[in-house]
Order: sequence, then structure tokens, then C-alpha cells
Amino acid sequence: MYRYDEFDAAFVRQRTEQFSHQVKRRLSGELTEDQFRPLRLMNGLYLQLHAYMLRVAVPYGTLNSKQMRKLAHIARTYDRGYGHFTTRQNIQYNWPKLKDVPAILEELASVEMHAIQTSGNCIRNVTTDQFAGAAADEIIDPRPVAEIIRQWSSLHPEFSYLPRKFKIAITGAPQDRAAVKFHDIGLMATQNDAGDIGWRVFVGGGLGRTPMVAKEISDFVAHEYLLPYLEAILRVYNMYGRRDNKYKARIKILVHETGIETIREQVEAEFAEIKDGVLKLPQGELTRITEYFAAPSFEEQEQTKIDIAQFQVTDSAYARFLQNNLHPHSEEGYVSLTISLKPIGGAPGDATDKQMDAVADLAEQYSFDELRVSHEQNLVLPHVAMKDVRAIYDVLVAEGLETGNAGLISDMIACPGLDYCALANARSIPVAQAISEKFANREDEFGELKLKISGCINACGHHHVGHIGILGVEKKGTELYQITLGGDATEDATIGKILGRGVTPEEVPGALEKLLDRYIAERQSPKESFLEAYRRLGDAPFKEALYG
Amino acid sequence: MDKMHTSSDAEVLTLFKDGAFVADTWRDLNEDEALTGLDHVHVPLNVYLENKAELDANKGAIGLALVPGDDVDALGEDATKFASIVVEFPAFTDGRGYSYARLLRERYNYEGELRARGDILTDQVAYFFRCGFDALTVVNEATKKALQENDTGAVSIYMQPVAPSEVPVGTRPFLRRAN
Ligand code: HEM
Ligand code: SF4
Repeated sequence: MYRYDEFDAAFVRQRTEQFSHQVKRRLSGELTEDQFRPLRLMNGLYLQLHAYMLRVAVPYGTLNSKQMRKLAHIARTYDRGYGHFTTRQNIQYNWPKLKDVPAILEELASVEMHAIQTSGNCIRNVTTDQFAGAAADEIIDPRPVAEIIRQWSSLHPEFSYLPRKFKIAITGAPQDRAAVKFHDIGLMATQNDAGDIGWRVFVGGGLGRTPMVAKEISDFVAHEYLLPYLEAILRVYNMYGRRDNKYKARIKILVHETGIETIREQVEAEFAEIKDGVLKLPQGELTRITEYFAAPSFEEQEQTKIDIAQFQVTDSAYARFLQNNLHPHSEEGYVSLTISLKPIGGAPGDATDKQMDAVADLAEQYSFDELRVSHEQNLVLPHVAMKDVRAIYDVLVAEGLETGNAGLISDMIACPGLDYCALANARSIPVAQAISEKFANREDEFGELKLKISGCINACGHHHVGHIGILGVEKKGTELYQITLGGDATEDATIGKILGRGVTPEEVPGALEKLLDRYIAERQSPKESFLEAYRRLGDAPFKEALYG
Repeated sequence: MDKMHTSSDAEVLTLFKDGAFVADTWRDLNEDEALTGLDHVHVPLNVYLENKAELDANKGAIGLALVPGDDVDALGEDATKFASIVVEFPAFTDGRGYSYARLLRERYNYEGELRARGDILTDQVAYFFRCGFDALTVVNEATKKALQENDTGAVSIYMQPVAPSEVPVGTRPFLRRAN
């Protein structure tokens, strides 16, 4: 894991002091809310309906146990005993008091954390695959490059007042678990004909009211040229991105309106000017940063597979956990273990202080002190020896964290919706709960299924990329839910298609049942997932199932 | 007698340069003003591009005024002809001018005075200087106060190299600090 040196520490300390100073000036009345707003927005502090919300960065979703304990401590001391892990691998606190924010930031700084650039029209936290550095299918660990990008983008003087927020995601594996094609810039590791590893660069993806799949702008950028290439894209966006309409200000609109060919020409021209300048990455620096992410000292393991069948009858909940929550590791005898923050009927992504402490202990004892936050709002122990899985599971049971639903229908993403969000058209959480309760006993039968729910067109719940997506809309004063099918956030990036007219809140679980029953009836084998079946069959059978 | 600026003057002065608020010897070109006999006047880019020969013939110092949306590349190396360039920031959220400044300094070798003018927040002061501005025309009262008291609280360690004048720190290739 990356460790701060004296300069990183001083950087965060100075920024914390600067912001604390501004908070004091706000509290004393010296700054008005209007003057304070742009300052707090660069520091992850939002003003919600009733309280401030503080968003803390978890760079590329990587944490150690000490940091997780600090997050628990903050939840306990300054909030209401819980935190919310977000779809961008960050954590949010929903009830901090403004006067406590300087103290919280100081606590964070003591464990090399901060809230810098978690909001505002700047380059946000770089996100990646939650199994980075562990996954069996990985070409390269993306975290060193993510860290290099993080540093380059931190308080960048040219790119802190962009037309709109800017999100970068990076994956080192061909199976994309970081949704890179739905980011402003997506990076995907690739190997060229000479056998060198570099990056395919995608630009202009996003969700929201105008969902777009990113377009490839370059099929290979070498490590050493990546920062100049990114700087070239950002400069073109900063100068030409639209600023007249906040809904048309993301780079996806620039790419769409200008055309990828023209954008590529502009970026390549800019890149040619700065390519061999000061941002060219020296091999020594890449090596230095990469060393921080060296693989832990894995030990040879006697146990190299897990026999799930033996638990199917005697302990079916554990069998489900093994089936769903383990991911193949590059090292024999190890797995990555997903801790689901989606208990049946709970609020997706929430964890209590006590749960965070327990997870920190598990990481320390069983996962070389490493933890990850996934963009699907779960936690991950990346390096677990197979022999330890049972002991971990028993602790998870004691903490109410044992739900074995990773990748299943109840492992859904749902935004806060009408219950908490002023912009909402419809409720999300009650609908999510009704669905997960309805299918609690059938979800294994359905297999891999990504369900995503948003309470309005801003798409915080990523409904466009759900295999099944649900979007709350308002028609003549009543809540209706539009169902989309076939969305996919992976390397096969697809935006879901609206199936037909919306259904009422009460009808949602029944509507899904009709769709899923039809899938079960039509699938070629249990190995054919819902998404695969939908791609083979198209809309027709599902339309018929739902609307008759 | 030399006019000394007292602190009450500082409240009306808006040009911040070399660590102090000073009197501004420049003005903007008026609409329909003749383009001859100018001295210490900032001329809009489009006016300059359309009347290059006439403006270049002026004996006095000519400056340039850029607004967001102007094409700095169209100016190119002509930038070096000017004694002062002012970049307008009509709203603090409009960050196009930061890129213009870097292009002028780093690509088109402009070495004269480079001003940022408009809606300038305390937090932005350090960013302006890093991108190559060396003067600010400030109206925001909170920012003026912070500048007067030398209390912008700016972070002095930089995580990315920008202007060539920034000083490397330690052995990391991209770390910089203010000089
Ligand atoms: C009540 C609180 C919330 C409000 C008012 C809110 C509002 C918004 C708005 C207006 C946008 C669109 C921004 C744009 O146009 O670019 C947005 C985007 C987004 N929100 Fe939220 N949101 C809230 C809570 C959440 C939560 C809890 C999550 C995490 C589960 C979330 C995740 C996202 C994401 C990932 C996007 C970006 C989508 C994209 O890339 O285009 N939001 N939100
Ligand atoms: S999708 Fe809409 S309802 Fe849901 S959190 Fe975002 S803004 Fe609110």
C-alpha cells in the first residue's frame, strides 16, 4: 500500500489547516455561506437538506486496518454510529457538525486520509477494480498508476475549475470490474505487439440524464506518457467543454457534440507539444511507486480448493457464502473475500462503527492488513488463505455481515431516493427492500444478476447499467417505475433499454418475478445468465411476460 | 512629493502585484476608440487580430485582454509583443483562463505581466500564480483581506510540476514547491 512520506504528510496537513481556518471564519461569520460554499465544495463538504455531509476519499478503494478503525472512530464520535460506502469507493458521513469538521480532518490526516477533491468540479478520486493486485485474471496491478494519477491530480492548479466534475477509473484486468467505460476517462491495461504493457484510453462515458458509453481515444499509451496524455485531454476539456448548461458540461457531451475524431485530433496535437516535457514518467519513479504495492509475503498453502458441496446440506448459508462471495486469486491457496453490505432489507452500503472495527480486525489478522471498498458498495478482504475462510465467516456471522449474496439480485445498488433526497421523483430504498425480501429464497436460482435502482434521472443508482434497471419517474403526481433491461457496466459496456410503460411501486416486485420466471423458462442452462439470455432473446419474450 | 499608499488607499486599489496592492497604470480600450496613440491600454483579442498592423504601429505600451472562449492559439507567438495581458474571470467557476495562462507562458514564451481579473477567491490565488499569473485584479472583499494580511493559507507543496520556475523537492521527480 502507498505510504506517505514527509512531503505527502505536509501536503495534507497544510490543506487541512487551510480548510480548518476557513471553517473557523465561516463559524465566526466572517465568511458568508455564499463565500464559504466554493471552499467547502473542494473539500468534500456538502450541505444537505438538514445537515452537512462529509465525503472522505478512499484512494482507489484501498485501506488498511488502522484507517478503517479511524473511520469507525469518526462514525462513533462525530456521527450517528455509521458511515455509508459509496459507488465511488469513498465513505460518507451524513451528520457531522460543521464545528467538528476540522477535528475530523485532523483525525483523518493522522492516518494518511483526507477529503480533498471528493466534490467540486475537479478530478475526483480515481477508482479501480476492488480485486486489484489480487485477481487471477489481472494483466497488471493498476494501483501504482492510480496512485501516480492521484498525485498528479491533487490540487492541480489548471484543472480545479473544470466545466464539471471529472472521474477517472482504471482497470488492470480484461474483465472490467471498475466500469471504466462509464467514466469521463477510463483506462484499461493492454499489451502491444512488442509485448509492452500500456493503456487503452476511453473518453466521454457517464450515466446521469444522458448516459453514454465512452469511446476509445487511444489504443495504446505507454506508462511513461500517460500523465502528458491525461493532461492533454484535460486541457482540451477545460478549454472547450460547455459551460453554458450544467447538464451539458461533462466531457461526454463534448465528445458527443464534437465527435471523437476531432477530439482525438485536438488531444493528439496537445499531447505532441507536451509529450516529452516535465510529466514524462521516469522509470525510477514508476518502480518506486510500484514497490509500495509489492505483493504481500504469501505462504505456500496446503489447502488449494474449497469443497462447497459438503456444506450444501448441513450449512447452506455458508455454502452460499462460499459460492458467491469468493473471487479467484492469482496466488494458489488464496481468495479475495467479499463482505456484503447488502443485508436483506438493509440500506445498501451502510456499515456501523462496530462492523468497521470488526472488519479492520479481520484484515489485520487474515488479509495482510489490506481492505478494499468496491464500487458495488461492499468491502473486500483481498488476500485470504482458503484455510481461514471459515474463521472469517464465523466472525462475520457475529457482526451480521455474513450475507452470501455478492453478485446476486439482492447485492443491488440503490440510491437514497425520495426518503432522503430532495431531487427524487420516487422512493428507492423501500422498493429495493421489497425486491430483496421477495426473492430472498430464489436468488440463487437466478444466479448472477445486477439490479440497480435510481429515484430520478440523475442515475446515482446506476440503473442504466443494471442487467435489470429501475428508474423512478413521476407521472401526474404518482410514482412510477420504468424498467430497463440489458445494461452492463463491464468491458461489454451497454446501456439498458426501456422495456415499456412504467409500473406502480406495488407492482415492481411482481413485475420482476414475471421477467425472471420467463428467464428461467427460456434459459438454455443454469449457466446462461439473465444478461446472456436477454442478449440472445431480445426484448420480445420479456415484453410479453410483463405486458401480456 | 512621492505619493505613499496608505491602508485606506488599499481599500480602493484592486491591483495586487509583488505582494501589495498598487495603483493601476493600465486601462481598457473604450468602445469605438481610435487605435492610434494608445499607451497602457488593454485591447481585446479580436480587435487586435483584426487590426494587427495598426495596433503594432503604436509607440506606447499595448496590452491584450482575453476573455473565456478566446483562441489563444490564434495569437500564438504574437503574445511576446505585449507588455501586459489580462485574462478575465467573469465567474470563479470558469477555469478556462488557467489553461490560457499556461499556454502563454509555457508554449508562446510570453514573459510580460500576466493578470487575472474578476471573481477571484482566496483559494484560487495560489493556483493563479502557479499557472503563470503575476498580478491579480481583485474585487472580492474576503480575498482582498486575505491578500492584504498575507493569509491565503496556500499549500506550499505541489504534487505536480507546472511552471518551469517551481523548485523540485527532494528526489521525487514531480514534487515542487513555491520558490
Ligand atoms: C441525497 C443525496 C444525493 C443527491 C442530492 C444526489 C444528486 C446527484 C446529482 C444531481 C447527480 C448528477 C450530477 C451530474 O449531472 O453530473 C448525481 C450523480 C451521481 N450520484 Fe448522486 N446524489 C445523492 C446521493 C448519492 C448516493 C448516496 C450515491 C451512492 C450510492 C450517489 C452516487 C452518484 C454517482 C455515482 C453519480 C454520478 C453518475 C455519473 O457518473 O454520471 N449519489 N447525484
Ligand atoms: S438518483 Fe435522483 S433520487 Fe437518487 S440520489 Fe440521485 S438525485 Fe437523488
